[in-house]
This record gives sequence, C-alpha cells and structure tokens, in this order.
Amino acid sequence: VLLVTLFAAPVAYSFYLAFTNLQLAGARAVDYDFTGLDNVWQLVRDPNYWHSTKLTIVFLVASGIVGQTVLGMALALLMRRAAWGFGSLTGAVVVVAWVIPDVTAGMAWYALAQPGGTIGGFLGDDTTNYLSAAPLLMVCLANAWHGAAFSMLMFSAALRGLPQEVLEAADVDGASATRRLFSILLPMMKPAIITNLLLVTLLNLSAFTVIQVLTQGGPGDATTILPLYMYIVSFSIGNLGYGAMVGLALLLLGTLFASVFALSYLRNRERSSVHEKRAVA
Amino acid sequence: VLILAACSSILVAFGSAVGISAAAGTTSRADTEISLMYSQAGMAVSPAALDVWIKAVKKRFEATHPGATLKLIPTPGTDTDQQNKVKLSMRSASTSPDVAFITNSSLGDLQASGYLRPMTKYARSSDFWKKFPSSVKAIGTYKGNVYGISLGNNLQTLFYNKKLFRKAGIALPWQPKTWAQLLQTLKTLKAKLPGVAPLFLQFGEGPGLFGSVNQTFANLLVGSSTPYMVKPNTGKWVVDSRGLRESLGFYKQVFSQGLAQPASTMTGANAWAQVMIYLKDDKAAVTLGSNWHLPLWKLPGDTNWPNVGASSLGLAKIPKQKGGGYANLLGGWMSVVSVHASPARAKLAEDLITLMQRDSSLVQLAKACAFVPPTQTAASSRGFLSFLPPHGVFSSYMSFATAAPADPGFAGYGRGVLLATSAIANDPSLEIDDLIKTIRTETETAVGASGVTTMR
Repeated sequence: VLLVTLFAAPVAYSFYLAFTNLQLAGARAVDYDFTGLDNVWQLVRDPNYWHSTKLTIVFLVASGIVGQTVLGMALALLMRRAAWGFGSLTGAVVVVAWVIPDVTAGMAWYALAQPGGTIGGFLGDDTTNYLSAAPLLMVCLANAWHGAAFSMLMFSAALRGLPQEVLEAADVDGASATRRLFSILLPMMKPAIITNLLLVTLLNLSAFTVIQVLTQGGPGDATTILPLYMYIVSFSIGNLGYGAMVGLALLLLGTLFASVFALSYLRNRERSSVHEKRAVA
Repeated sequence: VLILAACSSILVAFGSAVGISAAAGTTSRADTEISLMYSQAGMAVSPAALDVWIKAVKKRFEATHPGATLKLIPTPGTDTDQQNKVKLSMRSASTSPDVAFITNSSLGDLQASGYLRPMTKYARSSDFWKKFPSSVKAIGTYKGNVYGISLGNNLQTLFYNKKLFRKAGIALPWQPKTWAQLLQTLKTLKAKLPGVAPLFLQFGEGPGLFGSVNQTFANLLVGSSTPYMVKPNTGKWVVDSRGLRESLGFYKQVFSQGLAQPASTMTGANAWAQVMIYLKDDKAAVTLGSNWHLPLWKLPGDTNWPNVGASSLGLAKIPKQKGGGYANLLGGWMSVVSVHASPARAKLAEDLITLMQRDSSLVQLAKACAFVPPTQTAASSRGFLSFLPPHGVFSSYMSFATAAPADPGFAGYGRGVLLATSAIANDPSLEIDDLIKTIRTETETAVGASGVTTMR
C-alpha cells in the first residue's frame, strides 16, 4: 500500500500529466485536457529540449562518469598506498565534501570561481569570473568534487575485497604499476566499476541544487541540463504538462544509460562464469 | 531498475507537488478569520521594516474588527518562489489564502485560472481608487474588471554618476532625448573615461524576469516604434516586431561596441545589486535601474541623503527611440482576493485592503520596499519624499508610464527575452533573427502558437 501511495501513484499521475495541457496558473490550470501526443510533438520540435539533452549528456559523462568515477578511483588507489593516517585523513576530507549540503557545496564553488577567487589565484588570473567564462566546466567540476567520495568509498571497498595473492604475484613477477593497474586491478574491479557507473549516473541525472545555486542554468541556457529545464518549464514558465513530459524524456534518457550499463554488467558476468567453468573443467 | 527508480523520484516529487494541492478538497473555515499570504524577502528591501508594517496592519485590523482575526502567512524566498506558492495554494479552497500579495506579472495567469475574485465595484467606490493614476489602475485591471489593488510601484530611470560626467566634460543636468543622443553620450564616456563602463544594463538569471525584462528591456521596448509586449485588443504576445528588433539591436550595439559592462558581471544571485554598486564605485557612468535601487546608493561615511543625491547621483528619464517623450514601464506588487473566500471573508478582505490603502500605511510600506506609493497623494507626501529625496522624481514618472500588461503568459515571454538579452550580451555577434526565434519558442511554450503574434 505504501509503495502504491508514495511511489506508483505519483509516477502514474506524472505520466498522465505529461499528456495534458495542465498549467501552473492560467486558463488550463483547473480545466485542463488530455492532449494526446501534442506534448511529444512539442518536445521533438523544441530546440531548448535538445540543447538541454546535449548538455545533460555532456554533464553526465564529464562530471559523473569521468569526473566522479576517475577521481574516486584515483583517490581509492592513492589511499590504498598512503600511510594509514594520511589515507584516513584524505578519506575524511573527501567524505566531508560529499556530506555537506548541496547548497553549501554550490556556495563554496561560487566563491571559488569569482574574480579574485581561489581558481583565479591558482590559474594566475584573478580578473576572470569562471562561472561566466567556463560555466559548464565549473558546474561539472563542482559536481564531481561534491560526489567523488561516493565512488571513492565504493572502490575502496572493492579494492579491499580483491585477492591479495594475485596482486602479490604481479609484484613478484615485476609488473610495472601501469601494467598492474590496467591488466590486473581494473579488470578485477570491473563489476564494481560498472555498478558505480550505474549509481553515479542515477545520482547525476537528478542533479539540480548545485547548478541552481551556481548559475541558475545560465549564463543564458549554458548550464540548463534537463532537471533544470524541467523546473524552468514547469515553475518559471508554468507549463506543468509539458514539464512532466520533459521529466518523462529524462526517464527515457536514464533508461538508455541504464541499459548500456546493465548489458555490460551481464556480459561481464557471462564471461566470468565461462572462465570459471573452464577453470573447473 | 535503480536508474528508473532514481529518475522516477523526480516524477514522484513532481506528481506530489502538483497532485497534493489539486486533490485537496474544500474545507470550511470560520468567517471571522482571514489569511494573508505575502513575500518576506522577495518584496522588501528591508524585511524587518516590512515585518513591522504587517504586524501594525494586523493589530489595527483586529482592533477595528472585534472578533475577527488576520492570519499572516509569510513566504520565504524570491518573488518567483512567492508567486509559485500563491499559484499552487490557490488551486484549492483548503489551502488558498483569502488575500495574497502578487506581482503584476502574475495577475493575468491567476485571473485566467479563475482564482481571483473581481473587485471592480469595491475599487471604483473606494477613495483610494480615485487617487490612482491611470497606469496604476491599469496594472490591476484585466478585460475591464479590477482584480488587483496596487500596494506599491516600480518605475525606472537612467541613474548617472555626476562625478564621472564632470570628469568627461559632459554638461549637467544630463537628459538624452533620443536613443541616438544616449548612445552618443555613451561613446563620449567611453572615449574620455577608459576603464569605466559607460552603461550598466541588467540581463540574465541574476536579476530575473523583473530586473532583466520588466525593469530593463521593456523600458526600451515601450519607447520603440512598436511599443507593445501584447498586441492591443488581441491578448496575443508580440514575438516579432520592429520595436522588439530595435530594442534587441540596442543591446547588440552597446555590448558589441564596448559601451556596456562586461557580461560576466551579471553572473550570480546578487547581480541585481550591481546596478548601484558599479555606479557608486565609479565603475559605471550610467545605469538603467529602478526606484528600489536607490537605498543601495550609499558612499562610505554618507549620512545625509539630500546632499549625496544632489552632488553625486543624477537621474534622467529614459528617452524614446526617436524622441517625442519618455518611456517607462510601470509594474509592482498588489493585493488580490481569492475566489475561495466566502462572501463574509471577502468583505473582511476588502476592509483589510482599505486599511492598507491609507496614505500613511502606503508610505510606511513604500519605505520598507522602496516602492513608489500608488496614490498620488502618498507619492507626493512629505513623509515619502523625505525618506529618499530622489523618490520624488519617480513619483513624477507615473504620469507618462506605460502599465505592464496584465495578460496571462508573461513568464514565457519574459523567459524568452531574458534568454535573448543574455545571449546577445555574452555573444554580440549573434543575429537578431536568432534572438527572435528564442523569444517565440519560449513564449509558445507558455501560451501555445495561437497565443503569439507578430507586428512587422
């Protein structure tokens, strides 16, 4: 009953709203109609939707898949090698970045990116406002920084679960660090990497607050990824029906990414079971 | 499954947000209690002063109506947050406030929803209505009926830094008569004052729809050769016109010729304040701003407003493109009464509005919000003029100001203009045709293709 009340019913209602002309306020706020595929055609012809979809994919890949995953993996590997105290301290700092509220993370990066901020100081140019000069890069970096701890924790757990004898054998055989990483560690961690990618995609597809605080989707529409576009259409422009359709399109995009990762996971599992059968034989 | 669940969570939130209020039923409330929903931070420059004002209103209302109660519902956040809360709350009788403060740009949407109780008879028989200039009456009127009673207005001006003008050798007082004269002055300022932005023009998400569109762009549009956001007698939004192109062309000209501030200044939530900060810090010579920007004009050590105003800050009317008068778009905040209010509560609501419309009350509110009071008597009163002396100039603008349209759909049109002006400011090489397409797309998202028109 709880599942139906709290999950299925609102989803089904949103699905229905996506095919209506419901407005936040206006002539269709109360007397709205089922409009069939009108919102679908509008979506297909809407240049802003396609622009936001492109931005969402770039954001997902740059910030989630590459940024958070690579950063998380690098941190997990470095912490494994670091002295106990230093590793724990680094881990704690990264986790703090994860647990602070989204609004605080956004405010911190807002300050960093201002003229005279830390980023400008680091790059030797304290006159540039980086939220204006490179807005998408800034929101990707902020989001990757904010969420990297999640991947780090996942990879740290996966690294601890690896058979130590295999890694020690590689050491004894004199394998280089690069060879150990790409030929032993990463292949053995493939299930964890795929699961991480799936979860990171999940988290990033609903990213909203950090970007809203940093740029409000701007300058112009330079950082208006789909969750922000959905909000703008629904609550700034007031077209709730079409906003729900944008949400539905976001769901489809998520499903597309999920399918890719799920297929990859299943293929990897099949290969593993074939190897195991061969080994037994 | 996880991805589906995560994405669905957005839809769950969406469905819940829209559905809960839509599904709510009607509940009866005591006819002796009325509620008032108002914006805390979105409306006032001094939320503390607004708090004092509203508590005084409550006290006086309850004292003059024994047995009646005024329930205050303050809403935090921006003016947009407040408008959305009003729109969602008014969907059902059980959540609707009896009285709400809204901006003029929400009036059409709320009226078209059927949420507002007409107040035509009440307004026309009241004393305060007779003291409203026609533009103030117009912003609360839609299709001949009065739905909103203005609480305070915003008008615009060209602020200029007299010190910088003297330095550039420009004669004071300065008053351009056409856009060409304005541009000529900006070119002179650029030549004489390197490092100073000749003009500061708001755009983008920071100042939002009010700052970027109503209080900046629209003041050019209403002075252009087709001065319409909505085509007269049609209710359709004008998404392409000579005037729209002229106004966008003005942006293109000032940003491409280095006559305006760097585009990066408008990034961030406090961008709205830059209008005055740039001017008083001698980083901009002219800014297009509103009456509510005035309290931000404070130089270190300044204690005496009249002297500061006289020596440093100049105000000039916004010229029309080809002269022949001046342009200004009048907007502001107003009281509306919900259709869900019972007749007895509607009567109390009107009594509350009458109480708030006393000149002394309007002046107090104007001080808290840096408004121009809606009645001519309050706008010219000593109590108001002595607060911030240049306010008297804004009061005089009401006589020629154009009322902002009360038609539904402003959010879409405004979003289009906001994106278009932000785009041209960041990339002045863009073509006007592309900006026009943006305005059309966004407006159609709000009102559909049948709700737009062109005036070429």
